[in-house]
Amino acid sequence: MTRDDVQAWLDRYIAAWAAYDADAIGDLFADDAVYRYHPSDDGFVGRDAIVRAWLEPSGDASTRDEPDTWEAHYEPFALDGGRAVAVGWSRYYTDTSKSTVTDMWDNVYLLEFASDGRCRLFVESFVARPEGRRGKGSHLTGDFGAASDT
Amino acid sequence: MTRDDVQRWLDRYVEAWRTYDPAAIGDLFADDVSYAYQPYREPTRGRDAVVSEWLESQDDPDSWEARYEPYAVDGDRAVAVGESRYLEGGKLARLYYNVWLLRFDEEGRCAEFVEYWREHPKDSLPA
Repeated sequence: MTRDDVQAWLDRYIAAWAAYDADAIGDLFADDAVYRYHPSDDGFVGRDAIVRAWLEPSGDASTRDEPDTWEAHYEPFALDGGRAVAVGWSRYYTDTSKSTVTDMWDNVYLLEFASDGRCRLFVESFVARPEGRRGKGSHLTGDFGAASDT
Repeated sequence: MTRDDVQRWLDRYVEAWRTYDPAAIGDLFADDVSYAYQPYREPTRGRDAVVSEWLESQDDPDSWEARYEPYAVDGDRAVAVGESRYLEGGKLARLYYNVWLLRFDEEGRCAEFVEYWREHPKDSLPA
């Protein structure tokens, strides 16, 4: 995977999330992929389980993220063989006017890709930003800032 | 940096944390290091400031265990992952999962350090 390949995958990830399209979600992941929302989770194993977890986050579709009430941006930070690490942020608003932020997370994704470019391991770690630190702009600094600024 | 270089740096980090030897701590970092304890926090800048902060609030050497390893090494950048365990009365009291974004200078000192950490829920700590 090149940096561009990883960026394209991350962009497709966000598009699949926004669309809640089962095929688009499934196409991101290998048949036997493992997806953990947290390093200590057992996680979801297999493409079908991952797609179901996305489409029905709490067992049904009612807890999906409403369109246009969130924004996210992720970029590759490091590549090492089939592994990649992505960093970025996710920001949630009260409604589609996007005037009031309710939550913001800094995300880091530990990724492994199969030779066909599908993700076979996805481990997320996310840190909640406290109030007052949820604005736009860089949250990383120096050389890292360029990789994660808006 | 090779994977071995990064592993050695991580082991020296743990050793410096255990000994609180100012020279060993300082030797890990570049003069103008930027060290962020959370990705959204303003980093501490400069080796002397980082050493001072480490020395300010010290963990008892018997109260914790930690192990970090490189997940990816990409030129002067690396990402390390690991766990930090804090013990009370010989039992696990707190467990943290760490991800570190690292950049090294030409001497192998860390010039940029950004930490992400999450705590394992206290009600389901492993034995």
